[in-house]
Parts: sequence; structure tokens; C-alpha cells
Amino acid sequence: MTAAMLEVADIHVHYGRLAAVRGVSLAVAPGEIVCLVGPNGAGKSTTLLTIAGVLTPTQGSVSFDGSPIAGLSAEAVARRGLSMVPEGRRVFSSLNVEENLRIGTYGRRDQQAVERELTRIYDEFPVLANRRSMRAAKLSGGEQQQLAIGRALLTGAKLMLVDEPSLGLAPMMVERVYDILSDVREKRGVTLLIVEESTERAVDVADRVYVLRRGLIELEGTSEELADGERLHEAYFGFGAAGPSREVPAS
Amino acid sequence: MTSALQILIDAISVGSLYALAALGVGLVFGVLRLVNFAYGDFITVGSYALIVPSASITAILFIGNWPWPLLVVASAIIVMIVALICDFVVFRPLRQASPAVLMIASFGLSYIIQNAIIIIYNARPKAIGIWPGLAEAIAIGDLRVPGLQVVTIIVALGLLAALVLFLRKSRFGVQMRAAAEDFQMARMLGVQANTVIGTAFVISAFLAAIVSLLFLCQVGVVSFHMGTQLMLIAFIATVIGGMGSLVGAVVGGYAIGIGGTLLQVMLPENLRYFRDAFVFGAVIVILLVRPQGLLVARAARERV
Repeated sequence: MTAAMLEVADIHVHYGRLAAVRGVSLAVAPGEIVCLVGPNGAGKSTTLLTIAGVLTPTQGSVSFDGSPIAGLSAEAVARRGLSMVPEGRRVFSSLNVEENLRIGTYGRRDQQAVERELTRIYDEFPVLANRRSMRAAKLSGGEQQQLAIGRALLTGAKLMLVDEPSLGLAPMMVERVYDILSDVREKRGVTLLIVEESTERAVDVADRVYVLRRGLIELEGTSEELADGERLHEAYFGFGAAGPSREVPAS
Repeated sequence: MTSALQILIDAISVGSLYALAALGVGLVFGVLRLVNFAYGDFITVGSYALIVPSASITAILFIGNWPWPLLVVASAIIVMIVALICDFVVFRPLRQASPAVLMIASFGLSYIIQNAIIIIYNARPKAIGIWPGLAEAIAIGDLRVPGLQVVTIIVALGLLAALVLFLRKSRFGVQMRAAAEDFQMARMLGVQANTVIGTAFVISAFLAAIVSLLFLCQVGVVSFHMGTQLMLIAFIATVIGGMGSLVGAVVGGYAIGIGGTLLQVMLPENLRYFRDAFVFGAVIVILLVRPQGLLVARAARERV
């Protein structure tokens, strides 16, 4: 792996006195799909929110495209091309679909590119095109997930942070959402860092997987390496003959 | 019949003034979760802006002598500048603070502004007459209504319409609505927090200036605490309307204005003196029945 697009080095994040992340390092190369898996409370969302600039690490560094971003405001991080598809989607329910899509475009200079991208998103997500003046509150969960992805793309995202995209969706819709995410990488070259609870799905969609447990990276590997699932489950659940392994990637 | 209509127009005009004031409070609360008690002093500043700063007992008009469009613009700009300075100096360092801390800070700010006014202008109320023409009654058939009431109603409706257009059509308006619903998410999409908050303060200040001038026409006197009572009513209006809902703020403002005026007329003579007790009693009843206010804001999510 050469020149990482996103590099997180030994970050610690606290909520008050509680340490949610205790030294996480990870790297994402351009064009990769990387999954961050782990049980509830492992610190996955905290890691993502820290990268996005919502939380500030007490220690460690985050760099994007070669420049440090830890400590920047969330809007400054977003304007550099790092965009969030958050847990629970968080679409603006009182805004209509088009307003939701456009909300991230006001800071962009290239308004022609914005219009092209908007047309393209309506082509690829016809559901949204048909409901463009409908309030986002009225969309189904799957439609809201598509809206959240489209909204993130329209900010001009180079790297998208996606937090549990399958949460609360019907199994068929989950398939569709992951198809969309693969397309986002294939057709637009957008890099993806996805938080997922299921190890099976992570190995299925990602190039590489990190397992996070109790605020620490327990395991890291390519999907091929982890495909049999045994080491993955050990790291995930924290039991195994030799105890949890600690393979922190050299950065 | 005509007198009933006159009372109704009077009630709507009072309600219009309260609705504008409540909107000013509600806009800033929507994006910042700040109940800005210094808003009443923004209203006060709007009227003091008209006179020459001095401790003399008689008011010397300066901006107050200008033609009305210039006068309105100048007063509004001065209040906007004061509001932006307050945001920059007091509220910006407190962006991560809890709503309670913000509110207490606004109390402190309110005292500072009031005392600054006392130092510069003296604590005595000063008579200011602007736009005497508005005191004359307009005759519509048998109906004779004070011009000021008609102007107040028209101005309020015009500003409400303009604000709706702004929030629906302009990019700043859309960003403000998004920020009011989920500020953190908006920021993760590149919406600049300080721009949105600054816009909210500017519009809030503009409304304060308009409320100030309409109120000044009505009472003819400036004093350092002229905005306090209006702020209290505006705050209560936003609470019974539903904190965070702009439509609720307007509804609350009209409810208190119209309710208060009608009570004034309908209460038996010996009870009229206690009108405010009845108004606030009704507020308590509303809050007991609907603690969340008449309209519930969509923004349920906590801001970080």
C-alpha cells in the first residue's frame, strides 16, 4: 500500500473521563474500500466522528491527502473532500429531497460540476428524482439511505465515511445499498471507509478489514486473508487460545 | 359592530409586534439553542440609535430626523453591528457550552448593554417623536383606525412573507433550516457554523430594530429598559408556541397579543388592572396541557 489518502495514527478519544478510543491507527489508500468492524461500543463511530472533525482526539494525528486535519472544524474537513454518511442517516427531515442534496454544495466553487453531479445522481437514484420536492421525512429508510449517500457525494467527496449503512434496513435494501456503495467506488473512484457490525459483510465488500474492540485495533488484514473467518471472530469476540492478537499496522 | 372591528384590529396589531419580537428570539434559538435575553436590549438600542449620544435630558434627534427609509436602515444596521459584536465577543467563545450557560451569559450581556446605555445616555426616559403622521386615524368607511396599527400589521405580514421566502429560497435560508434541525450533520456537509449563526443574529437584529421603531412610535419615549418587557413577552410567546418552531413563535406572539387585548376589553372593569395575571395564568394552563408548546419543533436531536 503506497501513499495513504487517509492516515490515522495512534488516536485517543475521550468522552469526559471515559476513553472510547485508546490508540487507533489505520490507513486508507486511494480507491480502496476499507471496513471497520467490531462489536457495540468498540469505538467505531467515535473513530469516524473523530476523522470527520466532530470530535477532537486527545492524542494522535489524522491526516488526509498528506495534510493534518485533526483539530479542524467539521465543516473545514468536509470542504477538503471528506464526507459523512452517518449512522441513522440523519437526513434533514423538514427539508425536501433536493434541498437535502444541495445542502453540501453551497461551499463549492464549481457550480457547473454540481449541476452535472445532481443530474447524475437523479439518473442513478430515480427514487430521489421522483420525490425531489417531497419532504425527506416521508421517505422510507432505504430511500433516506440513498439520499444520505447522494448528499455526501454532492459535497465533492473524495473519501466517504459510511457509518452502519445497513442499520434498520430490510435485507433486500441492504443488498441494494451495498451495490450502490460499490458503484460509488467503481464509477466515481470515491474511496470508502465503512463501519459495519457484521464481519461476513465486511469481508464480502471490503478490500481490507480492521477489527476494533474496546477502543483498540485487534486485527487488520485483507479480505482474502480473513476470508475463513476464524481469526476474525476471535478478534471480534475477544476470546481465543492465545488471547487477543494486536496487529497494529506499521504506519 | 364597528367597535368590535376596531378592537380586533388593535388586537392584531399588538399581536403583530409580539410575533415579530418572538421571531427574533426564535431564530437565534433555532440555530444556537440560545435564549438570548439581551434581545430586549437589541430592541432598546434600535431606538437609542436615533438620538445623539449625550446625558442631556432632552433627546437630540440625529438619525431620527432622517427620511424614514434611511432611518429604518440606519437603525437596523446599528443594531446588527451590536448583535454581531455580542456574538463575536460573548457567544462565539461559548460555542461548546450548554444552553443554560448561554442563557446566563445573555443575562450578563443584557445588564452590560443596559448599563452602557445608562452611562452614555443617562438613566432617565427621553421623549422622542418620530413619524407623527402615523398617530392620525385612517378612516375606512365608519371605521377609524390609528395609522400606526395598520402600518404595524402590514409591516409584520410583509416581513413574515419575506422571511418565509428567505428560508425557503435562499441558500442561507436552507442552511439555517438544516442547521436548526441538526447542526452537527450540517457542519459535516460543509455548512459553516459561524456564517449560519451570524445570519441568524443579523436577521434577529433587523427584527429587533423594526420592533423598536414601531414600539417607539406607540409609546413616544426611550428608556434603557424599554425592551425588557417585550423580551419577556417574546420569550413566553416562543415557549407557548413551542421552542425551536418559528411558526410556533409567530402563533405564540399573536396569541398573547390578541388574547391580552381582548381580555383588556372583556374583563369586568375592576379586574382589568389584573389583566397580565390572567394572560400569564392562561400561559400556565397552556403549558400544563401542552408542555412542549402548541407546535412541536422537528429538531429533536441534540446539538454538539
